[in-house]
Amino acid sequence: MLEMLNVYKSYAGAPVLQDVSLRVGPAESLIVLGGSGSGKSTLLRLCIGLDRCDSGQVVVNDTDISRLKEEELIAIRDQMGIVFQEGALFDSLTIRQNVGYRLYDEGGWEEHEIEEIVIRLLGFVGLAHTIDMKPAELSGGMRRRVAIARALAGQPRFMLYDEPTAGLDPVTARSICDLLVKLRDMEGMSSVVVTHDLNAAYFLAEHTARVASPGDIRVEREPADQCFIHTSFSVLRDGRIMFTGNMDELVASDDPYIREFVS
Amino acid sequence: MFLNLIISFLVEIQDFSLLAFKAILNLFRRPRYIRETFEQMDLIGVGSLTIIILTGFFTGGVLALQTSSTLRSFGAVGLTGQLVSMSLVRELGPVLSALMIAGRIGSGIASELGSMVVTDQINAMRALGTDPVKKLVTPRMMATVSMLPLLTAVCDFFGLIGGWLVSLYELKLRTSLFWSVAFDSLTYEDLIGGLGKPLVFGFIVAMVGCHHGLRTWGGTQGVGRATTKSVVTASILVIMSDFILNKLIIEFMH
Ligand SMILES: Nc1ncnc2c1ncn2[C@@H]1O[C@H](COP(=O)(O)OP(=O)(O)O)[C@@H](O)[C@H]1O
Ligand SMILES: [Mg+2]
Repeated sequence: MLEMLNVYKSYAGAPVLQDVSLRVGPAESLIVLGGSGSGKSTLLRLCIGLDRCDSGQVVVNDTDISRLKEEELIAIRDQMGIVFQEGALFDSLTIRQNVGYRLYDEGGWEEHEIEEIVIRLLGFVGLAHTIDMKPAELSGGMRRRVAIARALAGQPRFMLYDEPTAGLDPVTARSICDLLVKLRDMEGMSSVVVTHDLNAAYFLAEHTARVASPGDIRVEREPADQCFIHTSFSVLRDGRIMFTGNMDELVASDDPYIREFVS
Repeated sequence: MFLNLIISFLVEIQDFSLLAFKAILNLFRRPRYIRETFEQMDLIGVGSLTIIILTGFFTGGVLALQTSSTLRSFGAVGLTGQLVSMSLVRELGPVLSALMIAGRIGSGIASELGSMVVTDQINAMRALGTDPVKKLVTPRMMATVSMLPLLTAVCDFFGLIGGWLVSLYELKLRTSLFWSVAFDSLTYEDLIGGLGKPLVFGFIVAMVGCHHGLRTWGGTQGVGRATTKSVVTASILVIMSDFILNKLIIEFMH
């Protein structure tokens, strides 16, 4: 579980996040919508302790991580995975080394064990053939899928996605959304998705993954009566959360900024 | 305005000291990233051989050419070897090697770490449970500190060869005269100073590169800025610390 309570953050005196509170339960997904510069990336960095808030609390599984030391944060980060905006793959390493990074670095793993895990994860994101390539040889969408695989290698219970579909064509964006839905519904993964891509946000809220037959996982539109059970929305504007609710409430909102954003 | 500048300067010094302290402390903590250290040693040591050899060779040659005319007016051309070896081993070898390494390695470190910062790779590394100071800074520091004295020795050696060739073909000195004078004039003090100073210079170059690299902000432009800054800062610090170290050596050895 992840919770933010009255979080404030500023850089060099300029406020970036103000009084931000949010909550994501087990197997739940929170979609944070916001324009560029609204503080989305900053919010994610705070969630995983890469940055420190000025005041307020960031609670991960009953631990307030906002005052922890870097060494203490490592244990917290073991339970979390983050996918950065452009993937942030390590340029100098192969895809195998990127995906297996955590395992290689931890030590104590046999080479063939790592190989197995890497192949399984790359298979999950549909990129098994890229294992010996370097990140520079991959397209933007592929890099993000590899980044998802890399984050999954540590078996996190919680995933953070920074604009996972930004700058991608609709087909590629759809393939990324499929992955997110599968992780949420099949693995029970909690997640925070920050994005300004409304189509992707709606897609995540309206779709569900189910096992059609053994080995065949389908991502389908949810029946209307089950909609939105595990996905909630927040809208971030200039560093403040100005809306929290489900998709129906978002679409029905009469706030002028939200109307502008969702139309 | 002026006060702000002073404060940000002090903050930067504090950051630098903290990073240097952590980098050294990591030598005694696990994990140690031995493989990364050897990779960097290869990159820094073997990779810089060519420029170091060229620098040494031509500096030695120029030293022989330049000093011989002065020496000739005293009728002491025979001492060319001494002048070449003393200038090289004491000063020019260490300083020129350090400046070349600041240009080649310091800038490389700053731009590599800088682009890792602006593409979130450093954050990704931290998120995956690795301490970037351990994994990136300490190996680079160790590698530069251990390689620079060796490179300096290579620079000195090829400088002597350059000086010898000039003495032989231009000044018509006997080979044995050049080398015996060159070696006889060197003291332990010269050798300790000449190979001890590069330890400090190597530390400065690597740490300044890492410091500016890790502080990069503002996208690709920022990477260029960090690179330039690291070369300029490291070069100036090398020359300044050379003065201080010489002063210390003179104080303690006499
Ligand atoms: N490390 C930083 N130093 C200074 N300012 C920053 C830093 N990170 C973010 N900012 C500022 O915070 C604001 C929000 O940034 P960000 O969280 O990246 O927004 P978003 O991801 O929504 O586009 C921007 O105005 C940006 O300039
Ligand atoms: Mg962002």
